[in-house]
Amino acid sequence: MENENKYLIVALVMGIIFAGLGIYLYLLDRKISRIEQKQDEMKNANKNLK
Amino acid sequence: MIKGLWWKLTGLGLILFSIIAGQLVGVPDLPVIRETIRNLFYHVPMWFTMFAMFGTSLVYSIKYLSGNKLKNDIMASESVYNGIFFGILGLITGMVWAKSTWGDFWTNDPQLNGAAVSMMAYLAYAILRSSIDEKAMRARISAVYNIFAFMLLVIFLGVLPRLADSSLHPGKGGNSSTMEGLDLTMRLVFYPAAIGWIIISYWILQIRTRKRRLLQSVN
Repeated sequence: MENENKYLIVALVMGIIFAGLGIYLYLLDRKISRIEQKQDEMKNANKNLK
Repeated sequence: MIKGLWWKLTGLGLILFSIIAGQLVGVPDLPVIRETIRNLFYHVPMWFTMFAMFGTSLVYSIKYLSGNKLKNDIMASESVYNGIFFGILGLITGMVWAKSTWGDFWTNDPQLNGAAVSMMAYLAYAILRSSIDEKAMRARISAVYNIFAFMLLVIFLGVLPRLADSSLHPGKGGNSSTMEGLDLTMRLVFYPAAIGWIIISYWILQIRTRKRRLLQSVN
């Protein structure tokens, strides 16, 4: 019983660490998408000015 | 490049499942290995992912050499850096496993030495790239080197350990593979882990290449 609890705690800790990494990746992805969008808008605005 | 969020969430879900299920499923009580067999869910997928990344870099290096497009060079180099990262994770998880089953972090084993030599070949790729300033020259030379590095990887990790007379590593030097002894429950955790890590490595690759392109366009 005690051993099973230990495995559960290890699984939970590893799961939380990985979920944190996943959230970090997602936020990074969203940040890059926003910059790419801004860059596209600037390019289009420059084209329209010409 | 694949768009959308579904495949990223699939990758995250598969890994999360394998991390939690990997600790909780019942495993066969094999001699010497015992409970450490659970490391199979974390150690072997790292090497699968590393191979996927180095294979991707090989494809993009060949594409660069046939078309001279710098975007292919970015993909090739970022795949290598990503592959090195997963290779190091594979080495660390392997060393921890080796300590508890073989009694030492590093043994004189053809598979381990092959992994070390292959990693050094790819680290040399990174050094080679950083030593050349001119973009087109750097891309061409590193693409050619990358093809040789992949051949070294296949020889040192895929061929030579299998030809060796003796090896501690399962599946090498005449030993039976750990994979052969996997029951259905373990397979149901192992394969999602391998697929999940490969998917996540492509997500990381995508983020890194997009970042490189943004930096390039700013410069």
